[in-house]
Amino acid sequence: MRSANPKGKLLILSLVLLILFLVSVSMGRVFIRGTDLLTLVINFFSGNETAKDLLSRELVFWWIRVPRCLMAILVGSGLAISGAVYQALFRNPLVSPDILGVSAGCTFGAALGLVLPFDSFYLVHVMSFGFGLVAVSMSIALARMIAIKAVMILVLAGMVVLSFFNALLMILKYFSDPYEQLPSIIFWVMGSLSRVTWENVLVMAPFTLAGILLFILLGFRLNILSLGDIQARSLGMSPSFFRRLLIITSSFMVAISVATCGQIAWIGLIIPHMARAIAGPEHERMIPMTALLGAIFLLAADTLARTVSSAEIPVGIITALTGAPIFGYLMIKNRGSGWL
Amino acid sequence: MVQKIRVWTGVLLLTLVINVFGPNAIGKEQNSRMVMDQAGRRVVIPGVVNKIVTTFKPATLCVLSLGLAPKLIGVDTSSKRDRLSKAVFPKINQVTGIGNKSMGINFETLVSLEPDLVILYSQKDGLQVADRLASLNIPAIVILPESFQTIRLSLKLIARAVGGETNILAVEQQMDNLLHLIRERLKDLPQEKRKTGYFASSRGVFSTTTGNMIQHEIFTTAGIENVSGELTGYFQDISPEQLFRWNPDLMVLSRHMKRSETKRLSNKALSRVTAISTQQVFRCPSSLSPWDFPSPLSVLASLWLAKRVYPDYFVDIDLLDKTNEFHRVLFGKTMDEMGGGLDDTIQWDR
Repeated sequence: MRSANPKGKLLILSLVLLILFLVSVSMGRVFIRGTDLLTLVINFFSGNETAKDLLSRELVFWWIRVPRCLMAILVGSGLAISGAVYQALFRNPLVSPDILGVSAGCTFGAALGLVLPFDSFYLVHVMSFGFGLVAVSMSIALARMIAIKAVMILVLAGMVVLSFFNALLMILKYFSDPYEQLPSIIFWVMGSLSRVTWENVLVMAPFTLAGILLFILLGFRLNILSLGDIQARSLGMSPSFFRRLLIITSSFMVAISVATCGQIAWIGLIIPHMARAIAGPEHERMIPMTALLGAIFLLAADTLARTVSSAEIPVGIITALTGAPIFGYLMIKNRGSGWL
Repeated sequence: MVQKIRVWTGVLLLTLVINVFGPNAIGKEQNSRMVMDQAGRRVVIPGVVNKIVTTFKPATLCVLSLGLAPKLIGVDTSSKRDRLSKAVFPKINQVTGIGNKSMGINFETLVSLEPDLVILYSQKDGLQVADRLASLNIPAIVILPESFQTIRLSLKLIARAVGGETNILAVEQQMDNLLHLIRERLKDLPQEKRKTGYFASSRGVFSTTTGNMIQHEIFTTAGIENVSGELTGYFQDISPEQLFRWNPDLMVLSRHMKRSETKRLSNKALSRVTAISTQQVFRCPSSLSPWDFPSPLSVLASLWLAKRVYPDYFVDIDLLDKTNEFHRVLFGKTMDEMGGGLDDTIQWDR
């Protein structure tokens, strides 16, 4: 299976993603007929004016559904690919993107933005993103100060920073007003794509696409890094430089995802494993597969979350409900194969 | 000597009889009472209640409206900052804060206050806290004010548990009068003229109330069909598309919704939702204390909303007069005197 044509698999997954995207944008709480959808798409590309009775559906389609589906693809692939990079860098299959405290930092930043008196819409996003990066920087700085067994210390430093920001969040929640501030913090922290706008997509897309491209280009280097520093150096590579570059880039991608959609669990952990099972461990092949699978997984989960009932199901519940059994299955299937 | 012993024995017996069967004893017997709280628990209140602790804002508002403010020795931390509570009972600043429902109650602080009565919520750990307090012989009642009827039952329960004089009859009368007024005015409102409404909770624009919550009754009493009435439980999140599908005629934002969250209403994607395109979006009053909370004040929310949406049916009704009178009866001061206002408009970012 693994040695079978990798390009073919990528093509099939791309096709699956395209079909899922088309299905997803045609589904939702507002029913839009197939012919109307076609009209809306044709009008958009031809510049024709939409008929008055289709205006509401046009807004639903182009301003709510399409950006949301695109965001699901971007966040899904961004989180999954960050997870794959982290797992390779730390040579640990149980590592996920929030190991260096990125998500915890982002969440604390957003919560702080929500309780500050300025009450600004953009402040929350900026603070979230800023504190996500502060958290990673703290982890890296702490690891550098200790400067022994770099990889292991970085994971431990990440845990310290993660706990620190979680504690700060708890303090903030404790002191925030239970009626005015706490509900908005809880709502924000819970991962959701319901607040996505075109503005968010346009901010997110260049960073995510650039990150994916960079990781694909550095796939070979990731292979070497995952062998360990000694092997990397013997092959003429500077492990610390590339590790830092990759950590900062993937953390940046996670930070921008969390700052936009809150925390969405499991994707960064399970998708790389699924991709590895299909494409094998070489990162040149595995990274694009991870990006596609992450996009498919989150797009499917979000489509389910927003369509099955009047009330929206938190997407985190769906990713956890499906992710946990898949991860369990992969653990059993790969037992004794050196996978864990 | 024998004579003296007889006299002293007689005095002792008389004292014993008076203590056991005398008026004080009868009073104590009368004061000791059993109430059934809204969680179905039987609670024995041993005597006169002079020290009350409330653990969430609706309970504090109920206690204040019953004129029991001086008996408060502990309150939920949020009520200490509430403008209405501070205006009605300025000493609330000095009352011990015992935490809150959302982040937990400091049980030791609560016990150290040695209260005669603790008023608890039914959600989260409310029932467990009540049972733990009962094991320490501290009477605790659970209230569940989620409709006008259950608010009245909560008020009655508190009044009965506290004993003695309360404002209960006046509060009930005020609530009944307003509800009667609204129903009378809207009784001839044709079905086809009834509007649909959406309530956005303090969590955000895409979080709404369900058919089990007080906001639903505020809407229905005001002659408005709550679009999210079919949902059950507590606050539920919805997708922007669902809001589009419901397409409400009007929207009411929780008093506690952050002002920055209202910017989402200016998103082009929502521009054809009727409530937004016609700018029929209001923030629930008042600047003093939220009317969208389960408390006697929520009746005012129905009147405010009914007058906002069907002004022709309430032409002769001066909302501020009614509001001031309601506050005066419940709290001893009018809303104006307490420096409050409706503050029900939102700023459109366009």
